[in-house]
Amino acid sequence: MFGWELPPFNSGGLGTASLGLTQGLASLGTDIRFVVPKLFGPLPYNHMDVVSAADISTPEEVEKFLKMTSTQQELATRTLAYGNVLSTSLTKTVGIDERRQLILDGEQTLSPNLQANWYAHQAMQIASTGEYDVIHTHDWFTYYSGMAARKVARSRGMNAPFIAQVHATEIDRCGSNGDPAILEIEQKGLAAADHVIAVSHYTKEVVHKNYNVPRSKISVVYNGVPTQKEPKHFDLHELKKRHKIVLFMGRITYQKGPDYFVKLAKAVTDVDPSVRFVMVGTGDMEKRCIEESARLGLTGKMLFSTFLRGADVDHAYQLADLFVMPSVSEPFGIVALEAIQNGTPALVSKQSGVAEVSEHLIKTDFWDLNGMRNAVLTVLHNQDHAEKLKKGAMNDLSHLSWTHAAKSLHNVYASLMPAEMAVPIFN
Amino acid sequence: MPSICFYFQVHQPYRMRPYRVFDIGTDETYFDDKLNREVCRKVADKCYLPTNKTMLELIKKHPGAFKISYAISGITLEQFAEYTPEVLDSFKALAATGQVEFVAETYYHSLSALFNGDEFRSQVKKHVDSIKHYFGVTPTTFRNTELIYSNGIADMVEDMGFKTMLTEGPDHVLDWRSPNFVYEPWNGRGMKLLLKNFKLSDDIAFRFSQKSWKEWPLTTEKFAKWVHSINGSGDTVNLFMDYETFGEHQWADTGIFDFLRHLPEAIWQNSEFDFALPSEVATKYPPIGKVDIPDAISWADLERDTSAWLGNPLQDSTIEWVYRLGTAVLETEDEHLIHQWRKLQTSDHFYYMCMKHWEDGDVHKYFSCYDSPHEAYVIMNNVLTDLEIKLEDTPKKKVHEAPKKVPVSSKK
Repeated sequence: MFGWELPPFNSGGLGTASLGLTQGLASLGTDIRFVVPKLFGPLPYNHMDVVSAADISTPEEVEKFLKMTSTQQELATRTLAYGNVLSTSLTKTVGIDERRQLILDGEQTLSPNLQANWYAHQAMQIASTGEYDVIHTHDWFTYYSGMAARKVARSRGMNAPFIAQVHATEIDRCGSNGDPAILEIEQKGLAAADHVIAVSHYTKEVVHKNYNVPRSKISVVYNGVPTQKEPKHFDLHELKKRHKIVLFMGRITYQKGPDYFVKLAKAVTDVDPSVRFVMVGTGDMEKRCIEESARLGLTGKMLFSTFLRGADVDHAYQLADLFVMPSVSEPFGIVALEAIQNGTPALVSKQSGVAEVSEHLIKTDFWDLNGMRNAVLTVLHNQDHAEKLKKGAMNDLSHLSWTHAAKSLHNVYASLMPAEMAVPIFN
Repeated sequence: MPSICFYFQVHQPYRMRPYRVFDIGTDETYFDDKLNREVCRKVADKCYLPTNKTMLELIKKHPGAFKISYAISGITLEQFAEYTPEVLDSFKALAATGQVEFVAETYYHSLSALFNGDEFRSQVKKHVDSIKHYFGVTPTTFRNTELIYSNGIADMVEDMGFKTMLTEGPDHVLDWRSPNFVYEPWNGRGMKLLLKNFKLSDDIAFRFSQKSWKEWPLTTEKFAKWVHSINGSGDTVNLFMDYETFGEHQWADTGIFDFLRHLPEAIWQNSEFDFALPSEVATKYPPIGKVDIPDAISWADLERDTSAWLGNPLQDSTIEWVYRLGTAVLETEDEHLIHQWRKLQTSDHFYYMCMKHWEDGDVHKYFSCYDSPHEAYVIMNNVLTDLEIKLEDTPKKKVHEAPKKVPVSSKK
């Protein structure tokens, strides 16, 4: 598998999903080699073999690569990916701090093409060792890696299909203002993939409509609930004893609709000034949201917190009487399930995948301010209704384990593999 | 015979710690004790101790001749007492010479004059009491936080019995008039007004070490020459500045201490000139006119108005909240709670929330302990939310009593 990040070094849901999915697969006896661009420290789990792509080649190789123009880099990667000759030097495995730093610095400033090409370059080397039956990649950053690895596999006489899993597209993240380079990578990657996995029917349609991928090539595999153990229970927060609390948690970016949350806070507190809103996260719209909130007179009614980790996340969910995910376009929306797990009912936008998996989530259009306000007030003021939603959604969750997701994945794998393969080994 | 009138602002706020949403209702530590101690220690070593030493030497060397005045905010005195008692002792030693005047202000260095007259008067009284307590003198001169001034504020100050008040002398108010005379407030009944000569003050406070300035390096001879040039067209040169100019804003290696050490003798090269305390200047020279300042001015930023602390929605909505809590806070008669609330009124908290992005933005950033104005706002909001919860939990002592006026005004 080629991924982007893993907890605890994650910036969002992709890391969480990657971990859950691999844990589910491992529980079914699947061997996984999981590649990340870079490992930032030891990981607190060992259900799979994690490879840091940044640590497999020499500093000279990296330097050489980084010095090329982007066209040269693309050519180099293409030659590696589509040509027949494999450089022997590529199979060398060296871990060097210097090289790590180069990539680390690069991640901030390099163009999407360069990043994807670099990753594909590393993928060549990784794919040239070991046995594997499936190449499974996660989101745009990894698609070229999937293409490159499949080429290497073929040159080694292995028939491993390349599966691209879509957790989010540039369309979701940025609407019509996406980065053309990323859009192009997605376009090419999804076209080249043997099969595409979408995390919801919502995403399946996004992929079909925006990237011209035939529906027959796309399977839906829902995410599971984030952890399989009970969240730690926190004492009732002083604030919750006094106020009804509505929570936003996620990156404060266009995709997540934080500006709609601020507008919602204004609409709700205009009717019931005792309600408090809490916005958790960071992102490029954070300052704008804070200013807008103050401008709308929400000082004292809207509190802010930076990105939280670990137990604090559960604490925040438990602080709330209602979780709101007003995403403009949300392929899945794992946060809504995390809220449910913590006993907090959730309102999600209809533009989300998670809306498909439970009847007991409140659903409105992200832009429907009146509808959202009325739904929020109904839940906050009707304890029975809230309780029903909570119990119902909790029940729905039991069908959404990562093991379940992994079983669906196995079916997809099986459909793509030669029939005689009995016990697959996955990569 | 014109006078040089030195006045220094000595101020350190209680900076807040990164108070989180989860701290609300569980943790009442709003202020960063460790950080405040560190800053106090650092500024004591770089500025307060060496500058006080220099001042004391100058005063002893020139008995009856070298004079200076200070406004030390109450919360700064508190922090000296707790973190660096030797600084407090060195100010006491200066007080004992009789050549130093202590100027009154609000204890909490707050903007209360703009929001709540009763609260303003309570804080001034508290500051006067603490000056009496530490230095054994009762101030007769007043300066409001950051020299914030308006006709209305002057009215309140004169009502409290002060004889002299200090403020900025900005061009947009003075127009063709010179700050180098004694003035009176628009509705004054005898209180005198001393206006800052911002050009000469800022030459020392801001431009002293600025190498791009055409007058750099600033020597005592050059500066004295500028001062002497007002002879015949002015009575006083009011040099008002942050005390931290010496050693903290202008580091020791810029030569600021040598400048200070040799300035008096350079000034006395012209025997017409002397040094005088604000209260002396106010009695020595007749007022030449009244100044009308309906809208508040201050010594901050290029605008010399209140836009360093007020005007954007972050600042306005937060300070409105702070003062809205006032009645409920005072009704608890819980001294600790009242003190906490008043420490949140300190102007610096609102200064950190300023979003002006021109030249002054850099100055704001220099003085801020936060990454952004937004962070300052978020933390303050969490703290105020906690304070609200505390208020609900603290029984109100005054609820069934007849409303009692805070005894502050000394109207005659």
